[in-house]
Amino acid sequence: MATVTLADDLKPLHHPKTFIGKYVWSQDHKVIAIQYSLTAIGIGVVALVLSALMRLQLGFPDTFHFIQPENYLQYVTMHGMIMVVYLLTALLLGGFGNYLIPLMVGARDMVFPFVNMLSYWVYLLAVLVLVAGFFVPGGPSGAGWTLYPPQAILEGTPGHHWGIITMLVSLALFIVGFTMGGLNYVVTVLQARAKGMTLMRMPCSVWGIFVASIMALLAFPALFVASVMMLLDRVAGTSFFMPAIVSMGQQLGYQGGSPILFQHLFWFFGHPEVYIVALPAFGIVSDLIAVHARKNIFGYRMMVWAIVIIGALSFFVWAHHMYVSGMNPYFGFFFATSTLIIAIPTAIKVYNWLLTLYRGDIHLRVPMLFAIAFLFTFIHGGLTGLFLGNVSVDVPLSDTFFVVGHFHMVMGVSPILVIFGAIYHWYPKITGRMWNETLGKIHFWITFLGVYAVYLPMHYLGVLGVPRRYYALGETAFIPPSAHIANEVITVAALIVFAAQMLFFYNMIVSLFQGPKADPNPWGATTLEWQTPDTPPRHGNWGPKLPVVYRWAYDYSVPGAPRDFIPQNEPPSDGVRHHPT
Amino acid sequence: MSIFADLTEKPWLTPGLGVERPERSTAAVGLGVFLGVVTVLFSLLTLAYLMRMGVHGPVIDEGGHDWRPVTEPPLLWFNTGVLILTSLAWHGAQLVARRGEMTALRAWLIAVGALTLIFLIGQIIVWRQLQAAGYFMSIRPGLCGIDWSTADQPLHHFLTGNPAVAFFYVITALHGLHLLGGLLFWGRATVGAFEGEGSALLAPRIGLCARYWHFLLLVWLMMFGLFLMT
Repeated sequence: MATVTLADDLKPLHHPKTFIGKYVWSQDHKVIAIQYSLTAIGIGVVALVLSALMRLQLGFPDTFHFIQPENYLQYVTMHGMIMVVYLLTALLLGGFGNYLIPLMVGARDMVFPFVNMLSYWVYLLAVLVLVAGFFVPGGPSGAGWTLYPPQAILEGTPGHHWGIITMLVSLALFIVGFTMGGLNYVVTVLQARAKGMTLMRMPCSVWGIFVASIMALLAFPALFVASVMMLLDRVAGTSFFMPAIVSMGQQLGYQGGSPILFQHLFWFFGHPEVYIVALPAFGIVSDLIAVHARKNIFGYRMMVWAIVIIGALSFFVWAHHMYVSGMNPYFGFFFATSTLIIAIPTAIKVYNWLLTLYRGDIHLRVPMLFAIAFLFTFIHGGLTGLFLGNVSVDVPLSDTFFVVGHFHMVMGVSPILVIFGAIYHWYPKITGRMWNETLGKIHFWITFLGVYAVYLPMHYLGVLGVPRRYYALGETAFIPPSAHIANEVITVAALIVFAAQMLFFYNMIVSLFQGPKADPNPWGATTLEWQTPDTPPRHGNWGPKLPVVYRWAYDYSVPGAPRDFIPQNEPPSDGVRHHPT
Repeated sequence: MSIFADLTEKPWLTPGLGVERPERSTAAVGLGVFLGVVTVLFSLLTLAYLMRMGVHGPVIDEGGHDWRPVTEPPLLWFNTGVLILTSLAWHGAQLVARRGEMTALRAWLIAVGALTLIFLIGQIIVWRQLQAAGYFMSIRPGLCGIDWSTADQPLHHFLTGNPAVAFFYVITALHGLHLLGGLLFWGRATVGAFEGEGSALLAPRIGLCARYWHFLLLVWLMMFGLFLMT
């Protein structure tokens, strides 16, 4: 049975006249999306610079005297936290979620535009508080991105005075801001779909962002609780997480707190967070592959169900991050099993992407290159995940560079490749201009080959036993000279990848002014955002009349149709035979 | 179940318009999603509370040896009663709003505001009573100077540094903050009622406010029960 909800076409839109009303305190989802994206990319560049500094230290120890051990730990911490929360989550949900959801489901805007605007400004405040950590006495926290107590707030950890406080306050603010945005993403999908847009006619991108938003709404409260309680441990002297402890020869006034409780709360947020980042990427990459292979996505229903199942399962695997924290072995058995079960829906998705490519009319344009590159890095990262998901294999590999290589492949590089693909894909719609294809291809090849040069050797280093988070390896019997050479090579590759990103920024900024005018639908895509009357879409998106949806999002290469795609808002006609499946 | 029908649709087979579904209130769906988030928040706090007490398996002796039950001040029973009355007042406001009796509606709304404030003030008095009875959050001076008075007391002082009290403060504070946030929407509805907005516009808003207050009452009863049982 197909059902639809009617979008509210009668509610008047708030049309501001002034520049500030239009572009600063804007309630237009597209402007908010761009604000979110630019802020996230801006803070992401800070994290990228931090990673370059870390690589310089690791590749060439004893060379850069301004990088002291405590600075290195601060770089590690801030790089991780910024990349996971303030860049990936904010860019995929706040940026792409905001831009794509209303356009793809055929709505004029988010359902609560004012709350949506507030969400961005609270996010910006969170970013500013986080950045303030660089300028407080003692610098930002160096506790590692997981912020495990007791060390996170003890003397000896960099930033234990103020840095940890700015970090925790910033996280709490981020969660408040995100909850406002997340409510909008979820309720807009549920309530504001255009006439004819059933749930199963939504593009995979919307499904990914929708399920990820629900997950984020359910997972972030755990981080909120953990942040508030740790803040009280630090500021008010409570003992939620702090056990009785002697620090620097002094008995501290803590007793009885449970560090493991923090780890449970953190990872109850932390593991779903992986999929909060991955599911939007899954959704977007499905659409990129279908559009640029001119084929309907293989097994659309399976793709949607897999997204939902992965989202649900990811709440039952968190303790696989805690195998070495001291856990009842039976728990390890349970969590290893649930972890490996997630591989099933994930494998379904990977096979379906490959089968969508199979005998497709593949156009190797830049977005498609990034989408295919994602398949490589994601399969790679997923397979090393199978190693780490097993307790007995994880124990020796835990806290080595194997783990660093694994999670950068699976939740760092993979979503970032999709984000690049998505930016190249939707840039013509967002700006009305085309970017430079040659520069885009150079950017792609350096980035793709470069990240392999960076992260593949890390797995070998990890198997050798090279520990993560160490400022310098020093003289160690089990680490051969070749490991040091590998570290140098990784650093050189990382710096080349770093430099290649300047090509991307150059391309995007110059094309904004000098790029040729873009066709409203340059890729021949079926989804609604390409069918807007204006490019870029104006406030209200659809002109006087909302679109009406007659078909699903993947009518590509339909036999008998005049073009190799049929937009979702094109009424059915007789001569067209529908998919024989 | 229609959700299964929705999710098993084969969208490639059925071009056309589909069937229309009766419209739901967007604000109601939004509130429902938000209540889900609040439920998770307080459930996690409850789990953290129980784990910190030491009721997770074999580590009782290690985790929870400093946990000492708190004698709840009797005022909490009074506050609970006030919160129940607030929910009843919302119910009254809902009934008269549907019937369009604006004068009665204004009276009920003022009653709601007054009762909520009494509850919040009552909670603050409970905090002060606990503090006066020697129940502090911490056993050492914190960074912002909270509880300086206990700084010179010995570590084994039987009332200080009790995690049960710390949880009590955190949970009541978060619950109170949710009520304060609700007062924003109460304020908008009340201003609307006094400026003569029609009951057709007001009634759904008051219904949603009432739902939020009932929910927070339920949360409070759960949390109060947790405090009483432990």
